[in-house]
Amino acid sequence: MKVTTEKLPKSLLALEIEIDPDQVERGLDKAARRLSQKFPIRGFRPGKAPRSIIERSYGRAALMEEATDDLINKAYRDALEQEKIAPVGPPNLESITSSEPFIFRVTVPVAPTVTLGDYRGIRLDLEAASISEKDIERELERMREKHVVLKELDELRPAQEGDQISVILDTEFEDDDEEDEEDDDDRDDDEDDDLEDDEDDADDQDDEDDEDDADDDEEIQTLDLIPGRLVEELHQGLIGLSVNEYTEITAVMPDDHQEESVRGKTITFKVKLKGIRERILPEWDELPGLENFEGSLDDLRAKTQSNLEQTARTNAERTLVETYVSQLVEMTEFDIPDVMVQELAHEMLHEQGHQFERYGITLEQMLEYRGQTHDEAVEALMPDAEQRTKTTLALSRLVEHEGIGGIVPEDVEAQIELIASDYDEAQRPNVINALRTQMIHDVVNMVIDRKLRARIVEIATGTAPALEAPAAEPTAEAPALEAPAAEPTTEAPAEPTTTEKE
Amino acid sequence: MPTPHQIIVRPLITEKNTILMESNQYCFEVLRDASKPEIKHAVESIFNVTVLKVNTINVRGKMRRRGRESGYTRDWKKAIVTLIAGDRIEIFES
Repeated sequence: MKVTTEKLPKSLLALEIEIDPDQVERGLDKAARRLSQKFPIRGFRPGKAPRSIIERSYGRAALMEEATDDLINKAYRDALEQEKIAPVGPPNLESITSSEPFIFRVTVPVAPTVTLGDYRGIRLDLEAASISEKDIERELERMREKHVVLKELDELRPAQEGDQISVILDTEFEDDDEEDEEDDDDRDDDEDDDLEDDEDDADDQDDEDDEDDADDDEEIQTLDLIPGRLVEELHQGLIGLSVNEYTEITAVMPDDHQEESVRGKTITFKVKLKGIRERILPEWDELPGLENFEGSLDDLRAKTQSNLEQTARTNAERTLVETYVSQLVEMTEFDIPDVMVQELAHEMLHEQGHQFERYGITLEQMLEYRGQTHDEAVEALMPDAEQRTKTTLALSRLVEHEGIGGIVPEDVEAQIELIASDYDEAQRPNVINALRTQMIHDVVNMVIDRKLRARIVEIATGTAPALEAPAAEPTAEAPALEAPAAEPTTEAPAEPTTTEKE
Repeated sequence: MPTPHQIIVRPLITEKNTILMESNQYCFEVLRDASKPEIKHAVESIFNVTVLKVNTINVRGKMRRRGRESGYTRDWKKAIVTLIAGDRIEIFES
């Protein structure tokens, strides 16, 4: 078999394959048997007619047509083996150049070329947010809040600071200008209706039964009268309110409100108080015990501080890694075959399908709802798929180049121990067993991920150790993710190469 | 007197006859009235070969029914012609 290879753009390889004549003859023999099986010849049992008879009955062209698929498939597989080519997608048959001798041309996508660039030159600041005394106090306060006890009042009294109250709350926006009013016509109508309902309720206050029925339809909300939780005017307006008392409180929403659309707007809150409960917070010195912490309140404070610092550092590292990866992808040159991105887009669509299946919606129903065909949905996912492919390739190349892909059993064991430590003593053996068997790939990936993140932080902050082997041109055929390539190879052959194997 | 092409009606190419060809025997449908020497002469003159032996079989027609009507297919004569070693008839080969 003679194979000529030619490198094409987008990591495609063109193979021109010439099949040996005796191999073609064997293929034709097989095809003849298949043909006589499908279309029996009078006088012969199906599949038993000799090839000469079939050739005379159906013609050589029909025989060739029947044999082509098999011949090409087998020759393609042999050519891949002979040339040691690892395709990353299905081949595309370009043409059958001639039938005698049998020559055909296929293009096959191969592992893309990834050129990293000066990835070690990227510098970023690791900016962990500083932890103030206020942050620690807030965290301790949050812990204390978790253990709050709610107590019904022994004797009715007006609401006071620190209480938890149940209210029926209605809000009405007062628009500042005409333009807004026009935009919000529909909403205003709804609010007017609500307002009328409330007025009706006020009229019926004499009849308590009716009032209760009406209130049942309203949604009761629970509010904590803690400074800073509610808008200041609302907070102050609620203090001193008695059960079943109705009031209207007007407030201007602060400019730093989390909901952008309401910032600076005037809102009227129509509130009816339905119940008051006293919130009893634990004493500070009870907190370590309630949190199952062995030590004093000061020790808990120190532990909280260290936890907050750790969280801040983790968040800062995550931000740094994300920024680094986006810069890395930007500076890396890729030559990705389209088929690789398409396959990932297909995978992503099926992942979405699986997620929807949990809610009993099939992929087809999802697409129908979106008004998309399968192909359109894949097309829409292509930009994301391309970005993900680039990120994966750049990172796997970085792992390989930094030499952090080699995992020793001790690393894996340490990771397993770390995961298992989150489980109860009783569950631990089963968890360890599962991690060592079914989930070993996930554990290995976690180890690589951890090492990769740590190395990225080192590189970005300029503390990375020097590379052991002097880095050659950081260009290579991207390796399969689990098996990094041995050596970074470089230039693709400029001229088509031909090899022959008898 | 029938001509050689009238005597040899058609070659019989079947799975069984393909196996017989390995022992240099070829089968034909022949004229029902033809004798073995006539068949020998006809084969030799048409295919330019030397015939060693001729065996003949009178094949009886098979009963066929079409609804209530029943009848027989025609009777015919089969000749198995053995050639001398080295002779071949191309028509059976390709």
